Amino acid sequence: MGRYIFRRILQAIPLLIIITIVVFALMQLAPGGPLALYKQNPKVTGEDLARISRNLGLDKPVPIQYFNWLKRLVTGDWGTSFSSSRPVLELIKERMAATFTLMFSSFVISLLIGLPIGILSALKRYSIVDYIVTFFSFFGLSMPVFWFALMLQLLFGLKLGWLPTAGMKDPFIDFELWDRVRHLILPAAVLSLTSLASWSRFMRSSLLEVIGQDYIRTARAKGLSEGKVIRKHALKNALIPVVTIIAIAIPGLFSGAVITETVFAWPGMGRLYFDSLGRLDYPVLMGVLTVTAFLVVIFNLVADIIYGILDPRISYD
Amino acid sequence: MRRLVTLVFVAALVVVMAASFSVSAAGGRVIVMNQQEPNMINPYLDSMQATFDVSQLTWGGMLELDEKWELIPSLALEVPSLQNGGISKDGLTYTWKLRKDVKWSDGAPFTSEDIKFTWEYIMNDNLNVVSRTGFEEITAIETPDKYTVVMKLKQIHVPMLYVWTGPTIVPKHILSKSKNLNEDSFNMNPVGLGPYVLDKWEHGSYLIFKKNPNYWRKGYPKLDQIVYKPIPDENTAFTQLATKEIDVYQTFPTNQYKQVKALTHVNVTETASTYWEHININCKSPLLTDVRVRQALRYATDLKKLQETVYEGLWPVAVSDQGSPFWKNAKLKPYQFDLKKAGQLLDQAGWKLGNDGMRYKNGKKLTLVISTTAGRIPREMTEQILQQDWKKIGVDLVIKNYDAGKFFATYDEGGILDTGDYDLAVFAWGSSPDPDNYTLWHSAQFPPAGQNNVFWSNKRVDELIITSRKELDVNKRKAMIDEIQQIMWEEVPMIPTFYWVNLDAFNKNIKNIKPNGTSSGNLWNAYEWELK
Amino acid sequence: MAEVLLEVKNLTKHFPITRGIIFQKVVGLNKAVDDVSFEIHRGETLGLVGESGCGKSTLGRTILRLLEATSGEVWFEGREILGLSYHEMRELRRDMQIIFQDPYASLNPRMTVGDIIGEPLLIHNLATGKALEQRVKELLNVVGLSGQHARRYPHEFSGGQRQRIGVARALAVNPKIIICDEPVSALDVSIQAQVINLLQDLQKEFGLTYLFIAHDLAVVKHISDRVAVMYLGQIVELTTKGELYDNPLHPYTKALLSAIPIPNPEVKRDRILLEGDVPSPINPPPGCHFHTRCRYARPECSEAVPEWKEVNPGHFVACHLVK
Ligand SMILES: Nc1ncnc2c1ncn2[C@@H]1O[C@H](COP(=O)(O)OP(=O)(O)OP(=O)(O)O)[C@@H](O)[C@H]1O
Ligand SMILES: [Mg+2]
Repeated sequence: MGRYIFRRILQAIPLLIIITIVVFALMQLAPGGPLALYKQNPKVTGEDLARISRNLGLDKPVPIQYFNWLKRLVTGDWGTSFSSSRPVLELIKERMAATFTLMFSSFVISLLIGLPIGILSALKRYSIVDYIVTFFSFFGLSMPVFWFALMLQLLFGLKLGWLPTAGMKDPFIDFELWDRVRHLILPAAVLSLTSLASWSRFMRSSLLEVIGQDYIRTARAKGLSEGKVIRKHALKNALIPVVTIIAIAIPGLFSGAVITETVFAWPGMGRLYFDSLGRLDYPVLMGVLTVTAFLVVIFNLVADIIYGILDPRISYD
Repeated sequence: MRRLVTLVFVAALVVVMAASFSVSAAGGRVIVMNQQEPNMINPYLDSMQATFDVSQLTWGGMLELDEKWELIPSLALEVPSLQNGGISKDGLTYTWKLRKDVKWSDGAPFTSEDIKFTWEYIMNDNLNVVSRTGFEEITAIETPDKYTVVMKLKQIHVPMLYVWTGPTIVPKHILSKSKNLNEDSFNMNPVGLGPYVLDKWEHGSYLIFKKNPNYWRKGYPKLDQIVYKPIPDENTAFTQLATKEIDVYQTFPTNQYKQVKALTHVNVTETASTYWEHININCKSPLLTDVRVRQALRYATDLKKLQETVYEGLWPVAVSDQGSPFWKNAKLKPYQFDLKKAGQLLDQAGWKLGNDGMRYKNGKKLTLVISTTAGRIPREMTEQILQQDWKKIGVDLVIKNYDAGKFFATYDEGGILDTGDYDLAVFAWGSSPDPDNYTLWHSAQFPPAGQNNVFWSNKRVDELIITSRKELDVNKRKAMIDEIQQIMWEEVPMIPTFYWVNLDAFNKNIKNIKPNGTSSGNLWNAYEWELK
Repeated sequence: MAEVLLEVKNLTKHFPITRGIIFQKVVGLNKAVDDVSFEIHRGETLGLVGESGCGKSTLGRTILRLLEATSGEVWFEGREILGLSYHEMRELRRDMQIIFQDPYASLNPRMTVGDIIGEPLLIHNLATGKALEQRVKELLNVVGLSGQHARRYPHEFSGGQRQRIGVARALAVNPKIIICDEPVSALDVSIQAQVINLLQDLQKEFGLTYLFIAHDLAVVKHISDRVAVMYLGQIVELTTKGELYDNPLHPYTKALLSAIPIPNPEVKRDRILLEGDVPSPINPPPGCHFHTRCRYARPECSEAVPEWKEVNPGHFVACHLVK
């Protein structure tokens, strides 16, 4: 197993490099470039632009820019932001905790709510419960995130006055768990919406498939109680593909975080990405995308490992 | 038993919620929202308004620009002028008298050395400064004593005073020791001359400013704290204003006007801005070289309709590139919407109506391409209205919009404006309070050299721009600027449409709000802000 | 003749066919098992044959209450079991076991063979700890596997071995009757015989009773004492093996028999080909279900349901032609 993991990590390195090349190239295709922003200021002369471009290293050919970036990355230097001149790694570190808090809470919510309702609707297939769950999950999957967020803000913030409508903490409270939780509730609910809906669908169909299997009939024939049949036999098997899909889907929460963080003024990496995109701040964009690529690679590996642990039919040598 | 535990838990939840919601904004602080987060607190290295805003709080300048766009003394004892001898007769020497009682926020004394250092700092080639306009005109700065600054200029540069207005001065005693000016921690947490100092910056969340204990205006600032809170989403910002989670909602979009107005606890201010919306006419385009065609298009532009349908009647109609009440040519009137006249002008220019109701000349149809940044709804609406109206005079208008990046990209990057790859283009320019628009209209400023991306050249205007830049007598200069506007009114290298209006909402409990539509913004006088 | 161990009376299982997404409407019935009656004697093997989809598995599962019957009765050792409580039924599963058709799908892939076989022992409190391990080992030996196999997972075994595991699992609780639902049809021909022999040996050793389901007569011939022939949810003929093969009365049985390959090519036999496809059990043909494919069909066959009658002692048939 250890060997397998090691090998997979080695394999991931060229993959990561390819991803960064592609991302870097795509960024160059984005029209305008980082200088367009300065351009809108009528006081900025052509000479000013040339000087800024030189200072940012944008005057060099694109492949050279990429290699310089990669060379520094290897030594742990992620470059400096064009717009704030601060080290990218510092910017990312600053935002990491906020994003992971949000992602983790949404993950837990989706798991704790999505899986049970998926199980429930599978067990009560074609019942009223199942229809309600199905209706809400399609609702959840098709609802625009912006709109859902706004509705929650208006209801819980404005109408009821129970929760803050944006931000991660009250500026005047240093640290207080309840303050943090209150701020977390709405963004986490919004971010978990899609995953909650899709995971519950997935759980439902996976469990339904397993329940139709002969070995479930075998379990019943043995004289097991229905509860045990579901728990010991059906769920254990139904969870294998669900867990795997979830592990792969976790980095996907990050892309959802870009919108959610922007709407809720949440100080995370998604917001950093959104802001940097507006300014085409290449080093920051590259930094955030590299972190995402890492996440994707790592969680794919995690998914494979979990699969191997859960399913005895898979072995890694 | 279980039920009891749940009950207790729910009760506790309700109590905690109720308790934590009663946190009030009292205690001398104001929370100011802005759509973007500042990149840093140094207006030289970044051109965002957010950066400028927070620099207003922490930095100082020799002059300030007040809400009437007039220069008032700040760290200088008076505004230099020909009359008071601050500006020499030949306009090449500026002498500044500084206040003597001023300290930096760290307690170090502020002296003329700091002014000289600021100039050297900007001219340092290693610094990623956005623009050096104005500073480049200075050849030397002398400091005869600690409180006198003498500047020598290469040539007359009328806007020199504006160069030293607002957040402009950097501390020599800090930055002269810096190893890397671009990445110095000063840029994130400056030692300054402003009313506030940065207390805490939670990146992505907010910046908290507290009183500068060494501020030179005695008894100021009035507030204990100012929180600057970036909120990217407009709906969220509105909700936060409504829930009083923020006190100031800066530059909200016109489509929220009614909503915000309906809130009883806020005042809405409408402030004229330096930005003016217009339609560029590409004078290089063969179809548009004839003045009569350009005039025809201007006559066919129904500004009243645009004002009502696109800008909710809020933005005033523009007549020229000058927005300031002083510099605007008062004799000019907007072109009256007149399709008949437009048709006649086109006839004269040789564009005859065909059977299909379109105009033709030498068998060629009058088809024009109009472009703007895709997704800016007001501009897209403008294009559509023009398309309909111009069809009535036989002009076939094709809409072709671009991503903002592509639209504004530099000449080398193939930008639509700079390469002249358009016939008409809808966008806005922001100007400074000084009327000089050399980079926009002088014929030496065709891209990539400058920003004359209407590709218009007029001998007389070139001459006026150059001489007006050297004219120290404001009234004489005013006459020249008026003439430039007059010529542009006739020649129509672009159709001015509207002056922007900044919409800001302030909690009614804040006193002494004096918004300024230039980049000075709302926070220029934050030292005076007070709670009722 | 031995006592009756299991008696099935007018057993019926209909699956409703529904339409609609939110408000479902029953638009038809799949009459998978339709008014079936027969009995099984202690120690015998009753073969049950019929084409695919005729309801054999459904019948087996309904008897064991793995499916709830629509109507009818099942008597086991003098007790009616369809009316038993859920709890009582679970107890009863000790005595009634089933071996499934598909050796791949019927073993939980996430459990070791030891756990699969041991689980029923635990449920019914028959053994724990060391004794359980010992018993699992024994069972594995009984079905021709080794004790070491207990720690492995199902996917590590071949089809034949898995079916042996299935048999061991069914045997674990010392059942009185085992319903073997096509236990060999998924296996290679060479393996089939081994498994059938195993089942026969076990029957002798433990005095088991089998309901042995198969879709062709060849397999059933070898193992059964009596044979029931099923067509579209109904049993059309039931008699001893010898009688059935020597003197089939129902045209369907005759057709099935003629399809069996004959070991000796010298012997010629008329092949009665079945024409057409099996009709759908959803709205089956009226009268005798078989009349649509029967070469002897008469007008009455499509009108009246033939009576289930004992033509000779112990030889039952449902056909209008048989008087
Ligand atoms: N759970 C179920 N729900 C609905 N219909 C079912 C169900 N199980 C079986 N059926 C239907 O009942 C009929 C009989 O199926 P069954 O599986 O009993 O046939 P079989 O004789 O065992 O066939 P095979 O030889 O292929 O195993 C078929 O039409 C089948 O589609
Ligand atoms: Mg079957």
